Amino acid sequence: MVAAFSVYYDFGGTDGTPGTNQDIDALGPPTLRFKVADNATIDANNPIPIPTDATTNYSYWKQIYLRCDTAPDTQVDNVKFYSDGGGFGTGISLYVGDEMPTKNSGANTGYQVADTAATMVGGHTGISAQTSVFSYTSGSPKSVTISESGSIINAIGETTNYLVCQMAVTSAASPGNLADETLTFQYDEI
Amino acid sequence: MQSDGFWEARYEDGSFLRQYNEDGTTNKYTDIDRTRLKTFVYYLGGEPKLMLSLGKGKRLVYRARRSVSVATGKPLGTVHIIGYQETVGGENRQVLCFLSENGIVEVRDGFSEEHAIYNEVMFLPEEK
Repeated sequence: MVAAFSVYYDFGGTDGTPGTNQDIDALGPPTLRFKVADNATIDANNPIPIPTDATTNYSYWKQIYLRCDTAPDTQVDNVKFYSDGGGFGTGISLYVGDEMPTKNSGANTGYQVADTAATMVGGHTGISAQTSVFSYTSGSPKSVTISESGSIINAIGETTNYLVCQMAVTSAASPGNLADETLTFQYDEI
Repeated sequence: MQSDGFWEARYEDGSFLRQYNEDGTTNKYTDIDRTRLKTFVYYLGGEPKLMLSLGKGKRLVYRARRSVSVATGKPLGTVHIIGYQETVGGENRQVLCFLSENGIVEVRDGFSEEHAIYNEVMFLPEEK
């Protein structure tokens, strides 16, 4: 049986206990909208304001992961994440935390509720550094970790660890809606 | 959900093990008897697209490398990695075929750590 996966993100609830596990299949398009609120609603509300000074304004972070809907015959491993290398333009950055906080079928210990539009570096207890999402391309992808047994996915409901992503806006940005960008998960299956 | 493609392990005595049986049950890649394996075949659209001959000392490596869109959650495509490793003169040598769903095959003499498509698999013990 060919494995099937869905992309999810968690929001709400409390640290360690997400209120909602959101399957993006039920949303949009688009399916991920970075805003100054912690929800899955795809609308024009809660936009990230463009600062008028030298500060940076942030979206609430999003904790994204891959979840198994149909189990593979043997296992899935070697998960990668990458972008198309594009970007959102001057003054707008999309970051992913260097660390991947723990998320699996039995634990959400890496979940930190997004309750403030502050940088995830330090703001999220599992993130101490970040990298531009657009620096990860098919030529240089980010390896995504798995904390399920054996560091593989081989059952329904098993997941990767969290990718924590956040948008940052400076005064150099232009207002308005942004064009969608292409982000990809890749994995090996047998 | 069964894919359009499947593998077939052909043995020295003419018998074979297919990924999917006619009754709908599935055989695992790890069920392949490597002591009797002669040829590994991958089919797309019901037709054999790649046949890999495996002699003594050649250790079969196979993976379905799949991509999923973060924006939609939908599959973007699969590249099948079909190849082998062998020890020649004390050194490990790899021959790898990357079979795309459109039938195009790229042959490489090794994995490339930096690239999403060509990076090394996480080897099973029997593949090392």
